[in-house]
Amino acid sequence: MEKDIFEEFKASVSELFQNMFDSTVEIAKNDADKNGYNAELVSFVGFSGPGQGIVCMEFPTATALGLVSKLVETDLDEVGATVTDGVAEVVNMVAGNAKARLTEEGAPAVMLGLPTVVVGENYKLQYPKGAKLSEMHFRSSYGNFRMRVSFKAVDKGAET
Amino acid sequence: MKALVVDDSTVMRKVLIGALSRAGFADVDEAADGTESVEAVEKDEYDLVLMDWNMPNMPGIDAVRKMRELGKTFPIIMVTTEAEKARVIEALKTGATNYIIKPFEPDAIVKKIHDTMAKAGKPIA
Repeated sequence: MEKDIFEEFKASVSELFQNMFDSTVEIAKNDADKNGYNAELVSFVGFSGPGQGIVCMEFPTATALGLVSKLVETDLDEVGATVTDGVAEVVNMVAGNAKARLTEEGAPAVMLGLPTVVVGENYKLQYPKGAKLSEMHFRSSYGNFRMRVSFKAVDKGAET
Repeated sequence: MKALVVDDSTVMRKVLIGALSRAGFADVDEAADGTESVEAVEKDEYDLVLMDWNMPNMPGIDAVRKMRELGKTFPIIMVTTEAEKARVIEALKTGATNYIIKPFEPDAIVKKIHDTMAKAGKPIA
């Protein structure tokens, strides 16, 4: 049975929070939880190979500070190199975990790029043409955040 | 005992240094990519290396290969998001001693370090 790409990404976020943040996440349902914040830090990573796309995570500053503070076991109160590096690592772990979930045994692995971080809200990502796009809103004890996933399987005949 | 942490993420290096400290390693060096790590092991003696896979300049898998070609016998634990079975096998065939997938529970990596050192005949007291 074909795996649900977006469910695998959601599961990857849940596993990350359980393992590294000693916490859980849930899907935000009401509009305030979904859109009642500004996402000032955006981390994303691209896929290539048999699956192409982008996973993009958008964090309000408070959420990013809380998450990275937990990782480095130090209270951080402003966005600097450590925080941007931390949110890059968060998207890297989510993407890596999802990639493994989506790769069938014996099949060529999807390749991950290196993560990139944008500080600020004015950005635009160009998603791969023809890719399915999903936006997920999460609630956690560290604060709310969003994830956008764009993913498409590459037709082997189209690669040549 | 002395360890080397190799990861392009400063945050992940801090996480791993914390884990090594809890495991009993007081002396830890850092490298930000495979190239830096190979230079480090040529200069210094290490009892353990924690190695990321995806890094700029030189990926971790190539650094593992270089270290083994240099005759280094210390245990190397791959600490990576590369979770596919084929990747694990590739790493072990190349010379990695053990493997842990990110994200990991804090206790899991400490246990992995202890197990790896015990198997290498250098148990941490």
